[in-house]
Amino acid sequence: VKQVEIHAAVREMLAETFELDPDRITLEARLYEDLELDSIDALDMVVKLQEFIHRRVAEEELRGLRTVEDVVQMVRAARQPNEEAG
Amino acid sequence: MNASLPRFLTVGRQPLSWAQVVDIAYGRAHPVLDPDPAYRELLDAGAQLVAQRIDAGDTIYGVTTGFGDSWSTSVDPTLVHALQQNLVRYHGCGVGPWLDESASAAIVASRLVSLARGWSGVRPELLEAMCMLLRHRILPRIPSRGSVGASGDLTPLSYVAAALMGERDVMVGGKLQSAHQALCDVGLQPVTLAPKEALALMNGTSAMTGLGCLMLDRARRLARWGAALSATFIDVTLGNPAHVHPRIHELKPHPGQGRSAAWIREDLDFGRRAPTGGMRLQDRYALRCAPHVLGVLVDASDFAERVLDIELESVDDNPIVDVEAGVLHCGGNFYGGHIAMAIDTLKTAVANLAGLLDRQVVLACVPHTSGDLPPNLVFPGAVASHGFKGMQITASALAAEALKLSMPASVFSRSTESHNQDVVSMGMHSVLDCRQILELAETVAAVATLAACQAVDLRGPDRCGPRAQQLHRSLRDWVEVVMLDRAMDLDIETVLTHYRAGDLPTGAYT
Repeated sequence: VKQVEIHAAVREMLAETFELDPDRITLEARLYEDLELDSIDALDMVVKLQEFIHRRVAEEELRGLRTVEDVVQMVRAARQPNEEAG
Repeated sequence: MNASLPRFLTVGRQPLSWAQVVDIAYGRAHPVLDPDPAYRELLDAGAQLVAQRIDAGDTIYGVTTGFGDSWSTSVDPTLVHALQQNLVRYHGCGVGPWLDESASAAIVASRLVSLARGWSGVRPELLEAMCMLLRHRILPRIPSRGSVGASGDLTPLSYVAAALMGERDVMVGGKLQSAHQALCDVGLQPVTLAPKEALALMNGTSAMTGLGCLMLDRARRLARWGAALSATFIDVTLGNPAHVHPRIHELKPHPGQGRSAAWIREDLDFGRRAPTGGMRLQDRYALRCAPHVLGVLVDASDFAERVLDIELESVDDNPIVDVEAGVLHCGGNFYGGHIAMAIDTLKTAVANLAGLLDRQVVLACVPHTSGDLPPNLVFPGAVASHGFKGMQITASALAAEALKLSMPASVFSRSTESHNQDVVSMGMHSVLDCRQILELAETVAAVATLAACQAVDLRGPDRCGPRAQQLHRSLRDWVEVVMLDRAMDLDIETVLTHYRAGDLPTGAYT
């Protein structure tokens, strides 16, 4: 259930930021090949992601993000400890 | 795709270094504002403190008062937004050549770093917008002249504020565009500056500091090129490599001198090559003292580095918003005297390197000092030719011009702005001089490279050290040896183009 919610939020964020059709933003979609993000888009995505998870995203982490699912997993992992604590 | 993802630098309470500003300036790295919620709260609290003071009816310099000498004029709270807009607008009086995109980016980055420290009362939205300008390379078109360097670089920085407001022009990918259009193209709204934000953007040393970072980078690259050329001239003129013996330079332990001597030893393959024979007991100073002249530049660059890094971590606007204490401090941190002194020092050392290289060219053109190379490096048999006679004169003309510009700017304060700004730094003039001196000195180095490599052909590459051989091999891919007299102006341009692209094997600044 969580994954679905986070996917919806990530889809909304990507669709809004990069003016994409939400239907294209499937979990399997590849950020650079399928969604055609370029290197500047990647930085804009970092800014949005950081707002989402309230922490810095390291350069190595950005390099590890290849698909929408990777982004969803990162958001999920970042939110986990807060939820447990709360 | 992932391999080519750009580097990004988190901008926040921690300052960036001069080298990181250079990386942003050339688009090798991009700023991202620190997302830490505690940091964002600090920024919000600063902006709120300013707003609360306005609501409380306090007198805040530059927010509810006029600017500079006009501080005693009260401004009604209903006009606080208009006041900020007006500050930007009446400073739209810069002149002179426009700065290029990397210079503009360096200036925006320097201002961003200072404001992001969290002592200027600006909203995170403003800092985010500055990051966006840099990430999308929407770069304010800034005229180079019109700053006296105290109350900061007001006029040049007004062009940064204007771009954020969607006013005046910007450069995007080499094209001139209206700021408004460029912002819209990336989905960014023009910023409505909050009270104090125009003042915070403009009231600082960021134009001279940003340019200073670029000058430091160029000066260091040139220092290494100068060492490579000195080694090459030692080789081709049958100079005495014993002048760079480590013992000599240990006994005068200025760090830059030692480093320069080490570069020349590396370039000569010192201690591993058999003596070539025919060398002099003592070379003229242009060769014997090359590590000393270069050493002054290297040590001046270390001084400039320290000053630039401290300036970058400085809160240099006025008034300063002290969130913790809940007060605003009025001071003069926008005074750019340290940058002026550091860059005046750097530019003098760069000009002296131009002078050194000019002398080395002449040594190689005179048989008496060149180990009997043909006069003017004329190719054998070209009896009606004059080889590098004209190039020597070009080098001398450029070196003289560079030296003439090295007059310190920092001693030319003059009272202005109704005698409120009665002592100013003129730091912007220091960096503009330095930029011009670097341009000239790099061109002298290009002439020297052509002369040195011509001499390598005449001496025989196998009689030269590894650096001379590498420079010669690279140059001959681009420029032919001069056999009969011909124009060499395009050759100079070719060397500069390859040097600036990083293709000339000068060795690394270590």
